[in-house]
Amino acid sequence: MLVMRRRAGERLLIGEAIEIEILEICGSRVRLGIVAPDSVLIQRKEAKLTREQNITAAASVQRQSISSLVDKLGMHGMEQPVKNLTDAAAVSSKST
Amino acid sequence: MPRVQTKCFGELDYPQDAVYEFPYGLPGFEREHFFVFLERPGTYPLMFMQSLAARDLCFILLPVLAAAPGYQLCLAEEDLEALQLPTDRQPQIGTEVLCAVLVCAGAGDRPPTVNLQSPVVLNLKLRIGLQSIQAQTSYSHRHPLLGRAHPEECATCS
Repeated sequence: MLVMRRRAGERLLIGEAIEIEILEICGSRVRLGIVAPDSVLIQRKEAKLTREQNITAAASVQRQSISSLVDKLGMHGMEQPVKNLTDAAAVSSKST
Repeated sequence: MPRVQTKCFGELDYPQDAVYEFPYGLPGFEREHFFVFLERPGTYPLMFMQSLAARDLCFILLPVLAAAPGYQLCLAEEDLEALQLPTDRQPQIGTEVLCAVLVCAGAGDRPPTVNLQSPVVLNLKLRIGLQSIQAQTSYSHRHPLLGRAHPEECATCS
């Protein structure tokens, strides 16, 4: 990893088209200004990880994977500790 | 009672108060704004978050404290605002908000994981929900569900 020291108000370039300015440093927080072509996607890393993980999680939901998950949770004795943690009113157990 | 087509359980009745609005959707599913929260017989403590509009979109959730006892929720001010909660303190899990994590069920050799970094938080009173991406934590987005909790994974809330 390239490590570079910069102060507030200074800039750096990535290639020809991407420019990053250190706008403000306040304690542990840094405000950055980014200039980049529209074709370059800029996102927070944790948002990207969450998006990818959500897509994987949604795809993992199958009837079969649910029963296998229930079996595994039962084996690990998860029945007891979670009592009263959810508000019963918040979820529905009604079925046809 | 209205009915919903579910991904895994056929067609189910649901009460209106089991529906939560997600004004921003979820990352990756930004256009899905309404989810019904279901529990099914024999699947405790799992919960299911079924999209009202898209039959094939359903998530498995676990109450966060079941997945990670001692979990510390750290909602950013903008998340608190979006949930219409007081912005000067963190809400109480269980009374003010329901906090649950999305489960990735795993398959074959891949063990199930939960996303502790981005819990789903529901305002129980107003029935608004969002997925809060916690930037300032060391919680993992792929925390093994069945292992022992990793001691290094403790939250920092600043």
